[in-house]
Amino acid sequence: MIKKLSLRLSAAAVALMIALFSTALCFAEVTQQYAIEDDAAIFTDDQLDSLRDKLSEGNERTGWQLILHTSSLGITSELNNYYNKNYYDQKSFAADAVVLVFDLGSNKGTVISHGEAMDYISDQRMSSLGSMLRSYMDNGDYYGATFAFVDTLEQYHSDGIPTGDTFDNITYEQKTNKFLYVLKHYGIIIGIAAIAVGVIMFFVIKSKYKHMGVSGTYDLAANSSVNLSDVEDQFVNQYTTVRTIKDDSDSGSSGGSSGGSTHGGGDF
Amino acid sequence: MATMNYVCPNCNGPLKFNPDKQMFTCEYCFSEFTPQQVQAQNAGKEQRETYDEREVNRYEQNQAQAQAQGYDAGDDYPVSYVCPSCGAEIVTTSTTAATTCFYCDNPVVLGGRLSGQFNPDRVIPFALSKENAVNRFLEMCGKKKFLPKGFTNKDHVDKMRGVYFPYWFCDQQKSALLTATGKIIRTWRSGNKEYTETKVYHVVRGGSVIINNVFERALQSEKREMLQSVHPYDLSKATPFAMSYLSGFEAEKRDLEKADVQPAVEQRMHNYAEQVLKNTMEGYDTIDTESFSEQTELEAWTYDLLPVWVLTYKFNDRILPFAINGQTGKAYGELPVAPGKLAIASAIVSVIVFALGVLGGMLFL
Repeated sequence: MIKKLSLRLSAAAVALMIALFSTALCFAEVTQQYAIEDDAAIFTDDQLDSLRDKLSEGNERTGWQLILHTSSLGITSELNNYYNKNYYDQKSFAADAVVLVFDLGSNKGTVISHGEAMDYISDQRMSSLGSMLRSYMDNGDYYGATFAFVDTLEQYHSDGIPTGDTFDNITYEQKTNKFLYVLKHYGIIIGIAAIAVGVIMFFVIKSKYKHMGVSGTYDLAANSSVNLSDVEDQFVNQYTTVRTIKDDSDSGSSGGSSGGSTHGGGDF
Repeated sequence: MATMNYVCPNCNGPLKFNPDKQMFTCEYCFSEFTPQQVQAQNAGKEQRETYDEREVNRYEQNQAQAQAQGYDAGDDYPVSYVCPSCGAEIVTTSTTAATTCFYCDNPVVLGGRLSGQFNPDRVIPFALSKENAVNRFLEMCGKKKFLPKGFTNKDHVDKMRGVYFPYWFCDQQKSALLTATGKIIRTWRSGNKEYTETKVYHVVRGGSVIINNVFERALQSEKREMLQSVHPYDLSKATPFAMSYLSGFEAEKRDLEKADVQPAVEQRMHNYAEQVLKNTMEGYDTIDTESFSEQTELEAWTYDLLPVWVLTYKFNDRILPFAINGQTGKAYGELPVAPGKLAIASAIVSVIVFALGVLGGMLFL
């Protein structure tokens, strides 16, 4: 009797766990081909089914993991960096991936590209993609936006890497040739610093050859003595001043920083 | 005439002072003599030559008058003497008191230059041999990678010469009084407040201050900085002056009198006395002088000769001296830099820094 009861309880526990797991899957579904996290709960079950198919299809054609994420956080600026750091970097997504985020709290969105996808989504393409997605968002058509998003990515992949475009304001050649990039963007600064180091070295060494041994020619302590007859230390007054110390945490850390892994993309 | 050299009583060879042994040695028979022995042997001769030197003094006075009248613009005019060993004519500057005959290489002391009112009170004999001075110089040069080629070759370094330079030394005992404002400052923090407590004291120190061995060079023709910077010397090793110590070295006669250097020395003594009293005001974080007064009670001046190894060289049309204290080995001087070598090294460093900068930038991309 007790044995039967414990068996039933175990079965109930397993059923409960399965039920809970299934519920969780409704909110977050992640595969190697795609991922959907509808935290803002804007899609119906039917829409989610269609979107799964669409994202899966996009993955097959591009090889990139396509991720759709909706939220209500209301991030108003630097969405790209924020969601890259606090969403993409926190999950175990694929290295070659594109994330589409709709932030309903701020009515803004962002596209985050990673790995190979970064080479295909140039500044110009991102701008075009963003404008298109913006128009869908303005109509509240997130479902249509996602379809258009996947279609556009497939088109970009089909068209190949736009070597004539820029990526974060640098050309593809510069992007792939780090040496050229550093040389072009920082060459003058590094060159000036290097020349400054050389010049400083020149004069420091030259000065070390000059007038060695000038100091310490007379030792006053060794050549003097004193016999004191008047010694007076008279207290005159005392005062105290107070100064408010500025908290270190008040200073610095102004302005945003692009934290998180290397990524591309842009807000819209 | 008016010159003398010190010869070995055994073989008549020239005697030179050996800094390593602190003895006089004969270069021919290797006999050794103490300074006292040499002085005793040559006392009569020194006195006689000094007497004859009156002629020279007269000659030099005439020269000085001639300069004053504008016939000779140079301060350090040439004077000729006859070498007592080989009879050759020796031409020296008017302040040279000891030298070496350029023909027979024997040491010659121009006795009259350091007699009478020019007789030094003390001399510190050379304690550093030429070999050690040269080694010290080469050791210093060895660490310098940008010297001109051939700068440290033997021919050049062998030109190093031992010279006794004249200095004035002054000792004073002063009665001094210093009043000052002393502050003791304590700082502590509480929360985000920093408190600074300042206690102010009226501080007085008075008494007898003794300051010894303040020096000033007594020769204006040499670079002042060089002559001042080879100090300090250990004056406890100074001995009463004897002409014989100069044998084998060069020596300079003073051309700055006590009156010429006294104002500068007095000023330094004044500052030193204040500093000595200030140093007794212990326990204060800051001390600001309100008033300081002093009066000299006792004063003593001496005229001394101090040993210096000197190597001069010409570089880019400049004649630069390098001096080494003949007692302690302390070095002073300016070494020449080969600009080409240094420029190449600096350029290489610049290129390396540039390459590292670019590589660093690539890593951060």
